[in-house]
Amino acid sequence: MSERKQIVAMLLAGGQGSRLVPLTKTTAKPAVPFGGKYRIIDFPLSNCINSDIDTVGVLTQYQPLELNDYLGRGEPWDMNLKFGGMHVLPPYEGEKGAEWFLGTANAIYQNLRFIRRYNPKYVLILSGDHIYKMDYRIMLEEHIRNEADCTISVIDVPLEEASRFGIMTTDSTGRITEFQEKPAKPNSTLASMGVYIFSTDKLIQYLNEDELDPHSDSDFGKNVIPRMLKAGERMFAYLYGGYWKDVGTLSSFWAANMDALGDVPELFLNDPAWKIYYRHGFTHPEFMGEDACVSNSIIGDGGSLLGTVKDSVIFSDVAVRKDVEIGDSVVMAQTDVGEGARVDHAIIAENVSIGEGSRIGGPLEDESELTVIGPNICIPAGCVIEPGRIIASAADLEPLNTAKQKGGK
Amino acid sequence: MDAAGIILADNAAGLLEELTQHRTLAAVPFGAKYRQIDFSLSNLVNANISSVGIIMGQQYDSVMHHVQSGAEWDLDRKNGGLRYLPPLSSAGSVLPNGSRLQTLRNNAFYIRQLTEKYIVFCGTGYIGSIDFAALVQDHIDKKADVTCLFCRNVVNMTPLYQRIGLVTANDDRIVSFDPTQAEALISEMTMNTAVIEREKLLALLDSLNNNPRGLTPLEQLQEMINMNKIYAHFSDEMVIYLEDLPSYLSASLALLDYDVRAQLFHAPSGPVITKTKDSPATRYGKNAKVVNSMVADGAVIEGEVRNSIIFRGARIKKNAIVENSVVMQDSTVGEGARLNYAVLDKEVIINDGRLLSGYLTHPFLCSKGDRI
Repeated sequence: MSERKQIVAMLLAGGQGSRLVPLTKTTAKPAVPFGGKYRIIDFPLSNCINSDIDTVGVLTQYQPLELNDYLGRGEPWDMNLKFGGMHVLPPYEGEKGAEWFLGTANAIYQNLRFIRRYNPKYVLILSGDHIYKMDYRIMLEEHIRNEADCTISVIDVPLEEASRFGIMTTDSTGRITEFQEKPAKPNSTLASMGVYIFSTDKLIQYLNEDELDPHSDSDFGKNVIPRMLKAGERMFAYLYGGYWKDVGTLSSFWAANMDALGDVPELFLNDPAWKIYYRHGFTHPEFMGEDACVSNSIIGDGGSLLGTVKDSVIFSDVAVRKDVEIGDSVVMAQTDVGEGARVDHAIIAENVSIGEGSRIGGPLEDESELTVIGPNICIPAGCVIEPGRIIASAADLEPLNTAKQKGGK
Repeated sequence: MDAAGIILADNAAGLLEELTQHRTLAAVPFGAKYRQIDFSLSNLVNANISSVGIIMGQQYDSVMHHVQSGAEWDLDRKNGGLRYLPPLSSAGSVLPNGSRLQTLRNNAFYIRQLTEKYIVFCGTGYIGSIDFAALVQDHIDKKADVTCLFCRNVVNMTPLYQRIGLVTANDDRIVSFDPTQAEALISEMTMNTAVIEREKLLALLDSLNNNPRGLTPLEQLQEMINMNKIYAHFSDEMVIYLEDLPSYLSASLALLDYDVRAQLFHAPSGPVITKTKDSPATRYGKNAKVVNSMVADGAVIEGEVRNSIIFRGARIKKNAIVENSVVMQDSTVGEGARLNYAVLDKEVIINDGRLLSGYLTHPFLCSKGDRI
């Protein structure tokens, strides 16, 4: 047990995830379930431990109850250590009063004491809303080799998508010459993944400077990175070639789940050499019934599957009853899909009850829009939820039922 | 619950043929992701018993590897918690080496250390979700010296099973055993599971040290029955016996019955807890066909599976057909291979196109790591 850590990771997990509503109605974005077994935050945390980074501060703010319960003492990721390990860092009241985290940079600034405790040479900054498997050790090696002050992980995106990201322009050595935040006319296609390695001294210096700037939004992308670039610090881009997806919107969240399917999936979850660790429930193995029919899908355990499931991601403890047809959908844990119901191109959140014979969404091949049912919603039997509808609460169902009854008369 | 548990995981090797060649009965994989001892540990923990000793005989590596610190069962405690009791030197013993009483006497030091009032002994020859809290309460209510658990609801009864002739009074007090009358008398299955007050157990272990009159074991037992208040606790909970290889297969396939699954996995006493593996969700290929089967997470199914139990990390490749079989952890069934009434231990590889078939009474068994 050494006196210091070479590198400490800070995981920004306080985001509200407003574009993921209703999935984030009562839980923080990093705690949103993903891929049949996981939650989004399992990916950066597993990447850390798989990259030999065992000290992680998780900065929480929005709806932290479920996330805190899930993180516990970090034991699912082998981060329950005596020196280091995973620490949940919520906003706190200090000498000068209590302050919320005002931006990503301010959140780290408020927790510099945590970083200093481990006296690391490097600090890795991560987001809790990306799905990817990445060995941070390779990025750190490049950072060290370049004698960089800051290394920003980038992916090459299609030019037409570049305006959605923070875009880096680099010289032939990979040194960043220009940074544009969501540019209308991008000069490059290297998009920031929101994964940064800082040499600790520089990080502390620029966070202190940022704090003194009353006009700053205290954001890494908007304020800290441009300031460092302007000052001529050694900033490098690290080009990452693997799978990476920002799951910040409902459609990208759905698409990332679908990426885990197929004989050669883009997002390969079965790699024994890069396990994604998660907190387990006490679920028994899945039972597949006499009339079960399942193809090109991944399915959690603890449930029984008596109907048909195609091209879908089904979580644990889901009841798929007789004559159910589910296609191109994500169905989260504890959800009950009643007899004869049909679900197409939809996200069904946790603990939803879908009544018998209901019809949710429309087939993907008909280019139906994505349909989303929020957590804990009870869909009455025979209900029809049109494609593209987003049901966040029971109130969203009311006009629907009335309309249906009127139509019936 | 003011009781500690002692799991008797020291069964002799070989009961389930090659399945128990390298592991004790307690470590036998069962039900797609469990091992027998998961049921024993879960039953104890679900009765709020938080001190558990595991008595081990030979081949205990797989038990230790599976249970580890007991963290999955919340048994990694500063006070109480899990204690492994490996075989100790039996120098100076009076009883034949290897007898259960001798084993208990060897572990009397642990029993003395415990602070709980009662001890629940827990055998490992069966699978069941049993309410041990009710067993202990029954023991307390009847002010019994010993309360033995008996089961009336055995899923896979075969003629092989030894029934014991249990003679009880109206209040379930055990009057005598009469093995010769086993069929005629109430013939419940013994479960090697019993409750006894800790102080009484220690006294009993001491008294059995000397057998001056040279009584046979049966005579000793009868004398104990005469001198103590020994009661039977009849459980209606379902129990699956692991006795030999055919019973292992039939017991496994019994899980395909809804009532059996409901009683095992949704028992009011609590869940069955096992070691976690961080397996990904089960992956089904484009041409997968899986009916009436139990499939654990981490398995990859690209072929056809019927009436079978598929463990974590098992792989059924394209065009393979697996019927009435058990495929254990990390085993692979190659493309176009066919299995019928087969039991594949862990890490078996069945190469492409192989045909293997046994029958319910004679399952085809592949030992751990076999390659066919």
